[in-house]
Amino acid sequence: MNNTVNSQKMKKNKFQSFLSGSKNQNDSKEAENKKDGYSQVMEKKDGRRGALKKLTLGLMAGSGLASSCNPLKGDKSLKKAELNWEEFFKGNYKLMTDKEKQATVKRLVTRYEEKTGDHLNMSCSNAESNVLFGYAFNISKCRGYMDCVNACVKENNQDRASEMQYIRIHEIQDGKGLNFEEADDNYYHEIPAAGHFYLGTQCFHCDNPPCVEVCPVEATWKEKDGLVVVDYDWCIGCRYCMAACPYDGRRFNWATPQVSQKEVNKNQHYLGNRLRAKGVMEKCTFCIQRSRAGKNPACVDACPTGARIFGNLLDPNSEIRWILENKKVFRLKEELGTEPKFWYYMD
Amino acid sequence: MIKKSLFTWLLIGAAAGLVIITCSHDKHSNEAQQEHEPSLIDKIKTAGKTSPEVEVSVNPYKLGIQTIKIKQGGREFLVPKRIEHLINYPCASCHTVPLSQLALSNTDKKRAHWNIKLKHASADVMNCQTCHAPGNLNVLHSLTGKEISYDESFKNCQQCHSLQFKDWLGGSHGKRLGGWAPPVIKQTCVNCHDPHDPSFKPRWPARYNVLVFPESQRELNEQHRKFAKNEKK
Repeated sequence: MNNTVNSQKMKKNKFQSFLSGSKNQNDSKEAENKKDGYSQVMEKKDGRRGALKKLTLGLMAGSGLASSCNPLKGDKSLKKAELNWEEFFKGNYKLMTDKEKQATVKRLVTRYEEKTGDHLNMSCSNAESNVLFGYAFNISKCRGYMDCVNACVKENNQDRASEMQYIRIHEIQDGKGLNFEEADDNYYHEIPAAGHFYLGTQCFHCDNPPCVEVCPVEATWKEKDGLVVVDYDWCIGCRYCMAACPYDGRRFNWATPQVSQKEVNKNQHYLGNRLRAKGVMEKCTFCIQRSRAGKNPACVDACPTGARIFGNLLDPNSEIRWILENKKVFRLKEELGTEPKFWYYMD
Repeated sequence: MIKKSLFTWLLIGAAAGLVIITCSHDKHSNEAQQEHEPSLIDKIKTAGKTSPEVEVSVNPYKLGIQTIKIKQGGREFLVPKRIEHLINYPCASCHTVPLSQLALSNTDKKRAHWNIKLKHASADVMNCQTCHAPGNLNVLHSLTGKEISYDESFKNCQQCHSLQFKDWLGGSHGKRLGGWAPPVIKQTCVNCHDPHDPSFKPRWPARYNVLVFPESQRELNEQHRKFAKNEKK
């Protein structure tokens, strides 16, 4: 439904700009955005893209010919090659229609099942309307147990070899203020240590995210429910976003992430905890595979002290809203104007 | 002279024009920005005064818990039932006589609740009977002697911990069950705090924080082992 409406709008826009005779840049840009990723790549009018199109078409024809002529290759391998081909030339997830989203998820699931023989459940659910996710962290309750980190690693299939962690828990001495240079991020002793408090950081899902601004290929963006996500298949690994984030919220896969077959969380989302490749960025997604299903992120569920609160900012009766309205809350580096949706508060 | 004044007037006019243009331009771009996306606070403020309908929800039956509805302080939510989890409930199946008589009877036998030691406030403030009703052990009672069901034990806690209770009702203290989606299901006080020993005990972190060098990690491992040994002793 949405698609047809969009394409109608596009046509209308084009028609209007034709009538007025003006080249409205915004309009043409919008129309371009509405196109799906494949046609975005294939139908660009400039010379380089045109050449690429011809080249790939030629390649397609050539490889098709070769595979059909090769008597040794079975039907299965042909299908596999086709699947890999389609997967390789798919578009940016942000620009995909729902059908295309489902198709890519299906391809990824089939590929995983063929490779490992294990079943996988991957979602491509969209943001719900009337939902804007927000997070609150009680620094008087956190005791540095690190149960949240364990839950996060397990839930989000993070690289075990490099011990990738989205969450950092900072042990800060009383009286030092929020000085992260003097905070201890490597503590390992009985907790809570006397005269210290604990503060956790992760991706804050800024409403004005600088990481999104700097991405040269638009592989990261803010969804309608406020989650800042990454299309791991569109990311080129330039790490601009990592440099732009003022909160150390992003992580880079320097090597192929290692997660043993048994430990893989098979309840996945395309934009969330699906298995990543070497050389791409990743980060906390507020467990998109859980939060879009109505659950709390894994860190919130795992916290034994109840220091982590998650909820819908657009619901005036939600806990997060009560905290914003009744507690003294603050955010980190508020002066930057990044508008994090992650507040700290005290009892 | 005439030439000079013409020149100055021209300059002034040009400057004024520039100011006007830049100002109007600024206004314009600001408006465009505002139209583009409202600020976070605006988004929250204009969201409306009633809870919006969302498609996802939490099913308490799927969580495998039975709940009761609580209506307090203008907020409505569910808490897990407690009575089913009490192993020896109803208490009256053992407690056939009031506590006053029990105290007079033979005390040579091993006491039933030998493992419970009250580590909650000082002895001046609390003893068993502050919460447990000596006349009817199937229920708890308030400071004024009003009966309180075990399912609503938060009413006991509320008497002293009024600030925590307020925070619990609002949502800044305690834990949600199931998720953020409606209906609201919350842990009640005794789901996290042992009422006889309510404080959280110090412990070791569940894991190392960020990766440390392998050698120092080995050191830490040994430290941990030593600590565990000492604990056993």
